[in-house]
Amino acid sequence: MRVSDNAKFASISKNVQKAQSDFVSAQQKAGSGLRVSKPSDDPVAAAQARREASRKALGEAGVAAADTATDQLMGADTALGDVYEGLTRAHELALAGATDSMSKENRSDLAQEMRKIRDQMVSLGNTKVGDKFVFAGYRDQTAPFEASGNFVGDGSIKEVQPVNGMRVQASISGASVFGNGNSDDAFKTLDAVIAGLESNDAEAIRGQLSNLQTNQDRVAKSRSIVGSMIDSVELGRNVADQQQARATTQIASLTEADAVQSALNLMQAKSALEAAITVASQIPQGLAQRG
Amino acid sequence: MSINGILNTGVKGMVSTQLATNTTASNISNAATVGYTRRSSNIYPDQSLLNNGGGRRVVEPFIQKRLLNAESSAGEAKAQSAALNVLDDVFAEGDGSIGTALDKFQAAVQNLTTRPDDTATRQEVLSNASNLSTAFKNANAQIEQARQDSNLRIEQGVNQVNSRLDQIGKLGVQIQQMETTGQEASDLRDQRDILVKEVASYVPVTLLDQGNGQISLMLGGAHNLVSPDGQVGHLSTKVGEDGTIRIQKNVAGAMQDVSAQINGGSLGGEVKARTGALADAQKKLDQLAYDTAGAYNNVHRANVALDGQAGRNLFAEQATVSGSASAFEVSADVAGHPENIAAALDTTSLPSDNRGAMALANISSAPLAFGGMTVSEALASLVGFAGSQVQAAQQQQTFTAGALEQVQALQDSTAGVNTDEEMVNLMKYQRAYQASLKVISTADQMLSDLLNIR
Repeated sequence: MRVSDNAKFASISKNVQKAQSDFVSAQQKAGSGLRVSKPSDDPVAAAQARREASRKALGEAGVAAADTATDQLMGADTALGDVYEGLTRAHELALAGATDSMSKENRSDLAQEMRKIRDQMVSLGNTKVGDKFVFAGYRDQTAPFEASGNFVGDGSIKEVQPVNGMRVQASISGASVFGNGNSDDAFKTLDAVIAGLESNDAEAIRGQLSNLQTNQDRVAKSRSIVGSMIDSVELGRNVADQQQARATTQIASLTEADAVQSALNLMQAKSALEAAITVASQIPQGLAQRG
Repeated sequence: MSINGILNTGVKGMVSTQLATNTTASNISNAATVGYTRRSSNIYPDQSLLNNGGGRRVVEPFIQKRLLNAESSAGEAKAQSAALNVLDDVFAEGDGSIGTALDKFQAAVQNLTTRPDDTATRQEVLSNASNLSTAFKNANAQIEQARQDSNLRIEQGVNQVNSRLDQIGKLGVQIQQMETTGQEASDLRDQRDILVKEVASYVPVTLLDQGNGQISLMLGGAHNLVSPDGQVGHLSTKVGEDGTIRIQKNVAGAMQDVSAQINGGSLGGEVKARTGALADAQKKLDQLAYDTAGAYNNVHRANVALDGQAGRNLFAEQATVSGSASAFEVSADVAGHPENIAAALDTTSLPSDNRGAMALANISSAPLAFGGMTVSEALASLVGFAGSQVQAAQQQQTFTAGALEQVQALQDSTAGVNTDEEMVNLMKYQRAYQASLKVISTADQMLSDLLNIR
């Protein structure tokens, strides 16, 4: 083929330009570590990465939601443990007070300790984690128990959603823990025992022993419910965390450049550019230049 | 055969090698001139080089036609790719992108499920909703700007075409006048070829050589742009009903919209980008904005706010899909009033009832009204659409530029100057000139010898 001067130089300049543009793009990829930095780099990967980014954000938010719920449940669990201990102590005191040999003075001393336990029960019922009362259901901004032991909170069980479509129960109502004002309600029982101790009435105290046991059982059961809730929330948290972790890995594999590969590509592009420049400097002299 | 005849032949040879040298000199001087077509300095038995007054332009009409087509295709692809690049910016990941804004908004709604009573958490939902609206608006504005830019470039391009058509018309008349009086018009022809090529880079043209130096140039093979007599049919623009710039042309006394016929050249590329991928992306963005607002509003209206009221929209309600992206906005009921975000299912369990918030959070995994995809999936598919449009346009640009280069190389291989070749010619003509002089001096010697016979 006949080669004109223009064509000769045009092809050299084209080759150098292409090598330069390849080099800059290889440099960018190696420098940024990204294979896909804009949609046109790889439309399919960019679209997938976008979906994964959204999953990742939701997963992270789900983990945070589960963690908040776990904090609340742990607070409730600790409080229930204290309640159980208090009731156990109250049961012991009631058993002691129920013996006929006990003096009136001793019963009065027991009554004082019983009062302390009762007040402690009310404050445990109003346990707060952060700014929330854990036994208050949805009305968790106000104390669920009055000083009298009257429950004024919300009976609902709160739910948490670590993953869309996966709702997990994450609260227990104070009403179900303490007996909801029924005849065997914890506060009513304690009040009755205190009244028996103060009036030196062993018979009345004996009459409350079974109720005390009922309350202990109820708290123990509540505690096991809370325990299984913690497990369920933990499960949900794991699902959300896995979703988040999987999405993170996916995004990396979709958009990030292989470090070794991009270093190699850069070296290749560099030598291609050098070769193109060498070729450009190797144009033979024409007849005109030889004179 | 007389000795005078030998003398004449020698003179003819001398003159024609002089002219051939001149042609070679012109070729060498113009070796780097853009659009210069090399002149052949070959001397034919009838010494036609002499008759022409200079070298013949070495033109291959077939290659020239291919060159015009390649020029149109490359111009179209380049313009389209440049116009579509905006989509890459709009849908790239990063702060302020719709993707990031949507993720943050959905995460904020998820947070609301754990702290529906907390003002700061509600405020977070509001500000992220407002960021999402900004992202939608920005994306739409960027695409809209790109479409406006296309319109502007179409208007400028039409002016460029018209001024070149005028020059082509004038050159045609001049070339015809010069060549009928036997003068050489190669330079003018070169100029005209350059102009025709430039027109082809704007609009698709068909070139017909009418002989006598006359050409006719047609738009896509139908409408006359330049007639053989030099008459010029200008293009003009007008604002169409949809606000876009339309290209029109006077056809038989009536203005006719020829935008659809301009299916090549940079103007064709602009039209294609404007009414194709850019418009499609804008439509999809509108649909996404419309569906997103609708989905959240449906749930939000059913929910109860802290004041116990239901029925409020979270985002401003859109009447039509078209324009939804630019009008995407936090609703007036909720803007500035975080307490009006409805996170509760009913009034009995305020303020920490999170069931409404969970329903809002669930939207992120529920199919939208349109297309059966979730908000995130619809956005991802839009990102994929934008990316593949840009990628296809870029590939088309690379491909057509390569094709143009090939045809250009073909053209260069016939019409381009090779200085080495010219140097050889120069030596050849120099020797021939010397030989012709020798012939003349020999004939002169012969005559002189003859006259001196005693």
